Order: sequence, then C-alpha cells, then structure tokens
Amino acid sequence: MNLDEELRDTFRFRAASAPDGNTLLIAVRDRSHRADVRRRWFVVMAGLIAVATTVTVAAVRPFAAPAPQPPTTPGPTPTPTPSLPPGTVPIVLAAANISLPAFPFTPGWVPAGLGPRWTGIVGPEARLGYGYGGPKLLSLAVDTVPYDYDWEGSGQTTTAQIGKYSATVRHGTTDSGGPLFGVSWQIDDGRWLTVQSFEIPFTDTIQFARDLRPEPLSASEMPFTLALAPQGFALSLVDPYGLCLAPPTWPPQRRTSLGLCVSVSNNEYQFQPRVDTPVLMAGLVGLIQRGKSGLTLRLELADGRMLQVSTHDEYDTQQYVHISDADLERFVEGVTAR
Amino acid sequence: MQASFEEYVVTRGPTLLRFAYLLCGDRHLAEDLVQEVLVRAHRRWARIELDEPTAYLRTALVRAHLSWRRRRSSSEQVSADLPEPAAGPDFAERQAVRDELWTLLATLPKAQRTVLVLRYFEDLDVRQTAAVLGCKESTARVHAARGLAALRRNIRTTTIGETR
Repeated sequence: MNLDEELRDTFRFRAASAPDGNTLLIAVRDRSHRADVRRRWFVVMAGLIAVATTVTVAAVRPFAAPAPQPPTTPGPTPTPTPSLPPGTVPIVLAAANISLPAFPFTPGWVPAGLGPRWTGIVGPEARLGYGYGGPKLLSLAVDTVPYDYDWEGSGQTTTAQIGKYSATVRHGTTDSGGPLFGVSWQIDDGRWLTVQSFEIPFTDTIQFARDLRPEPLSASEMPFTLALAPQGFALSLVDPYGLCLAPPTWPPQRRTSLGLCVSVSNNEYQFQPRVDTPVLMAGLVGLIQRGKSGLTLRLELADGRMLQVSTHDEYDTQQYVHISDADLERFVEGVTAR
Repeated sequence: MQASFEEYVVTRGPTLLRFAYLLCGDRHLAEDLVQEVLVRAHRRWARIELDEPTAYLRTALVRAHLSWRRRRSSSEQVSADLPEPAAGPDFAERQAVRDELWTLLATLPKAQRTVLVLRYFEDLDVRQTAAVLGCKESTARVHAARGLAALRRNIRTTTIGETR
C-alpha cells in the first residue's frame, strides 16, 4: 500500500471506533433546552438592564452638561475599537499611491495557446504567470528560498541544463492526466527560479526556462483602480484579480493573503445564510460576512463580476487589521473596476 | 424539536460523529463538537434542511473544530476501545501501520489533518475542500502537501517507507 491507501484504510478503521451516537439525540435535546433557558434568562436580564439604563439616563440628563460634539472635519474616520484580537492594526485611509512591482525576468519565448500574462507577488516571492484558471498554466516564481511546491509529483525527479545552471525537474500528472512539471534552479546571486507547467509539453517548459532574460518586465494592470488605501501599508500580495495591503512590519507570508485585500473577479459565490448578511454599499448590492477576526464583503458589479474586500480571509494567521464601517464604505466608493 | 430534525439526528448522527472523531481524534471532544453544532443548527433547521444539511453540518463541524481551543486535555489512548482485531498473519503489521499513522496524524496542525480527512475519508476534491475550510484552493493544497510530507518524513513502518 502507498501512503494514500494507508490513510484511507486508517481513517476507515478508526471511524469504526467513533462514538456510536445512541445517546446523541438525548444529549442534543438536553443541550438545546439548556441553551433556550440561558437565552431566555439573557433576554430578561438585557431587558432589565435596558430599563435601568433608560431610567438612570433620564434622571441624570437634565442636570448634566451638554456632551461635547466630535469635530466634523473631512478625512479618515476614527476607527472604533470593539473587542478585537490582540495586536489588531487599525486602518486609516489616505489617498492611494500604489505602484505595482516589475517582474525581474522577461521571457524570450512563450508556448502557444496560453492565457493572458500576469505578474504578481506573494510576500517576498515574485510571480509571472500565463493562463490563470485555465487548463494550460505556466508560471515562474523568483524567490530567495527554494520553491515550496503545493503539488505532489510522481516521486520522479530528473535534471536539466538551463544555461550554465543545473535544474531539478519534478514530474507529475494533472487531475486530467496531463503532464505536470516543476523546474527549479538557483542562479549566481542566490535567488531560486521555479518554472511550473500544467498540460504543457516538457520541451516547451524547458525552452521557456532557457530563454528567460534577467530584465525587468513591467507589471500587469489590476482589474480596478483605488482612490484610497490604508496609510503606510505595503503590498503583501498581487495576483491577476487583485491585491492585499498589510503593515510593512508584519513578517512576510509566502502562502497567505495578509491585511486588507481587494479583488475583482468572475468568481461565483453562494449565499451562506448562517454567516452572510445582505448589504447595500456604494450603490451596490452584496453580502457581508463578519467574524471575530475580520470581514469579507462581496458586491455585485454592474457587469456581473464580483468586487470582494476582506480584512482576513485565511484562518491560519494571527495578524489582523480593522476597518470601521464608515471607512469600508469610503474605501469601496473609491474602487473603480476596469 | 421538529420531527425532521430529530429524524436527521438519529439517522445521520453516527456519520457526523465518525467524521468529527477523525477530525479531532478524541471521542469526547467529537461528541461535544457534534452536539454543539447540532444545537446551533436546530435553531435554523427550517432553512438548513431545504439545502444540503449534510454538507452544511460538515462545514460547520470543520469550522467549529478549527476555531475551538482545546477545551479539555485528552488522555485518550490510541489503542483504547478499538474494533475487534481480525485474524490473519498480516493483521499485526497492518495494525502497526494504522496505529503509527493515527499517532502521527495527532501531531499535525489541525488544518492539515482536516484536509487529509476531507480528502481521504470524505473523498472531497481540492475545490470542495477549500470551500469547506473557507480558504483558497492553493491553501488547501498546501495543507495537504505539508501534511503528507510530515507523515512521510516521520513514518517508520516499512510498508509505507517503501513508497517514499
């Protein structure tokens, strides 16, 4: 057996020793009853507190000095501080001044039949790609550390010559049975280059790698422009759909979107009644999902695409930013889709 | 309680418990998780049952599991209360592999283990797994790759070692 089969076998075997569920219904009934009692108690207590507060305020207000009014100057709205996770960085909006980074290499030859070119970054890693989301994909990653593959190969590795460098070639198969290659080599200045190809012949993959030139390639255009951006934040991610901006002091992440992220895509999203709340913002209808660690706002654009703004869409980092509702609306109003 | 909810708990409860047990590796915690998720689902059952209750509850279990801090320290032993051993010369070897994998699975981060359970027990593909976790497909792939790599790195049993 290989590891895949062993895991299936282990899970099947262990599942048989799970609790049998004979008392599950009784336990759920009991818990549900207790939860109802607790909820009713809270409702009663909240009612009593509300009445007490109203009476107290009514009694005190005639004798109290008028409360100072906040200044009504334009500009960033002060961020309220509800109970946020420790270390949460508040967002203060300012005029956007974002320049997308150029990619450090220029292809001399590209296989035919690929989708449009895009450039981006994932933390410290620079990315160039073709055909995002399509069956044929080609990408190049440049980083100071070896590439951490997110696919498993067949286990077979070979070597290939890329100019004066010896590259390691990882072999695999795509879900539809096509060829999958990862070609990785280190250049003189210590950087690692990794070409990955999906459904592209090996000879084409190698030719693409060999014809790369160390010349900057201008960044591809975002599908939107921003009028406002978090003050002092830096780009933490750029991909074909959008970007993320995060405090520059945060440790860079190679896999995770950090900070305030905004994207425009054709992604479809299914309404989740448990967590989504309908919202109307900047004249657009959509859904907002709020959690302890952030929010995800999805708005439908006139052309059917989806504008998404999120402050935390991955569950495995402990780095949070916070944007007030008023600033979220100002930010969205400043997004212009292309 | 609504009859349809009670019927669902009786018929599908054991499936949810098996899934929860594989996620967390602890029988008591699995029962706690399933009960809590079902109590929450009960309040919205009229809406949930119109859609796909099992998919909804699977997602709810995963998210509850990932967001829970461990409420109790489990002293559960891996070998306790297991199914009756089958006879046969290979059983000891097979059992050794299962025991070692089960122990190693307990050392993986929650997200990695969850992805492996969704993939190898629930037979979900990457897209479905990412949807359950509420993350990007690339993130789900990374969790799977890292989980499998950690298992491969640490497994000592001969049969798996041969396929490295």
